[in-house]
Parts: sequence; C-alpha cells; structure tokens
Amino acid sequence: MKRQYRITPEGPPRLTDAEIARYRDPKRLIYNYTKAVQRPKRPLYKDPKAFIFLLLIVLLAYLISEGRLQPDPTPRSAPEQEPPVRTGG
Amino acid sequence: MNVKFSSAGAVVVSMYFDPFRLRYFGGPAAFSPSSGMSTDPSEHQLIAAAKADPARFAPLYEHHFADIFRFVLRRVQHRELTADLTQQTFLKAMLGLAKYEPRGLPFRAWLYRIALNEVRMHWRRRKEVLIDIGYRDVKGLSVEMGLELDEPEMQRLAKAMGKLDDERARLIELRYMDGLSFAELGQVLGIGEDAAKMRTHRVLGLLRTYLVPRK
Repeated sequence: MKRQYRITPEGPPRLTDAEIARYRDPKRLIYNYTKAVQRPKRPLYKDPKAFIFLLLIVLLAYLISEGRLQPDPTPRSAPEQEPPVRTGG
Repeated sequence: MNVKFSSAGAVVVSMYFDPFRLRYFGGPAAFSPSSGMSTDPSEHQLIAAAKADPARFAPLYEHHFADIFRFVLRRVQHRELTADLTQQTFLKAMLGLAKYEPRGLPFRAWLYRIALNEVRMHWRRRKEVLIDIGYRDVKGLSVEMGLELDEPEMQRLAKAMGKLDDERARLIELRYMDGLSFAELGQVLGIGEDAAKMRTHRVLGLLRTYLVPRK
C-alpha cells in the first residue's frame, strides 16, 4: 500500500478533548466485551436430561438396526420327512 | 498520561514540575525521560485491577481514550470510523489484557500497537492512502532534515515521504508525528530500543536521498 502525504500550514482540524469525549462510550465497551467473552450455550451433551434423551434415541436406533440387519440365527431347514413306514414283509 | 512530547519527539521536561505528579508519584525518579519509559505505579495498579475484574478497565479506557483516538484519527481522518476503530482497539486490549506484561514500558505503547494493527486491517484492501498533515506535525522532522517550514520545502518533504515504503513511513509517523520515544517505538514495532534508533537513523538518511533538489 502506498502512502501519499499532503502537508498544509493548518492541517486537518484538531479535535478538542471535549469533542473527543463525545465518542467515548465505556458502557458499549463493557457490553461488547461481555458479548465477546460470554460462554456459549451449554452444549447438548452436557445437559443431563438432554443427554439421557439423546442416549435413548441412539440406543433405540442401534437396537432397531441390529434387529433388522442380523440374520435369523435358526435358518429355515427343509421339513423333516417322516421315515417310511415299514410294512411287514 | 500527562507526559507530553514536543514535535521533535523529545519529552517536555516541564512535567517534573507538575506538583500533582511530584506528590503522587514520588518525584522525578519515577520517570525516565530519555527513554520515554514510564514506571507509573498507579497505572500498574489500574492494570492489575482490570486484569482481576474487567469491569475495572474503565479508568484505563478513560485515561487513554483521547490519545488513541487522535492516533487513529491522524491516519484514517474520519471521525466516525476513528470512533469505531478506537473502540475496537480497546476491546482487543481488554480481551488481551491477561497476556499483557508491563516490562517497564508504558501501557500507551501497547495500545498504540493494537491501534496500528486495527488501522492496517482497515487499510488492507486499499492500494493508496492520502494522509493529510499540518506543518505542526512535521515540525520535528523538518528540523531533523534541515528544512524550512514553508510551502516549497514541505512539498519536497511530502514527495520524499511518499516514496517511503509502508514500514519506513510507519516508523517516521510514529516517531515524528505521534511523538513516540525510541523505547515506545520499539514496543510498537516489536523491536528493541536500539534497533528502533538505528532504523530511524537509516530512514532519515534514505529520506534525505529522496528529497528533490531545490530549484
């Protein structure tokens, strides 16, 4: 960035202390500071009720997915044939 | 702070005769005018109090507001914008106060450093800036350069200053327009006091070579 200077006998008007004081606003400064350092809202996982609710949902989702995806442990087999009845002879 | 600098950057010695200061700070030993350093005990207490409780930053804000406002205004030359940048400077100072270590240097220099960064952030997209200054702002510099305070000489000086790069121009502004001591200059630029002296000397030499010869 280039700077250019303009030097004049009077220069820009100088502000008095009273004029500068009009721009002073300590309340706004403290407000902005408080806003800047304010802790964010408590996250969901740190709220006990929300945490249990979240856990239940996750558990339920897990159980449903397990129930759907797991194959049946007792595979279907062909119906057993009755042994032929021996007739005398 | 009541410590004043002449346009040539030298500390006005009359501050020693300020009866309030003498009584309050225990006499001239509390000041070191040659280096511009300040070991203002009340300011240390204010800083410590503000560190402990940010709500007590207000006295520091009140104390330095006008200085910082003028410092920013000299660069951006727009009152409303200056008010915003000054507010931003103090907000950053409050947020960073826990990390601030006095090291015997005035708090003001630390604020100047933050303010300068704010101004640079504001200028970052601009290719060129026009800085309007009066003869009173360059009085010290013109004495140093051996120039008269008249129009042709000031035009030569303005042209020569316009040839300086950003870093060098900043150094000249801080030293001669804002009236910072070499110690403060060092703190603002993040260099030592001796390095600040040496750089200023070099920049003045360069500025002399940039001066257009008299017609």
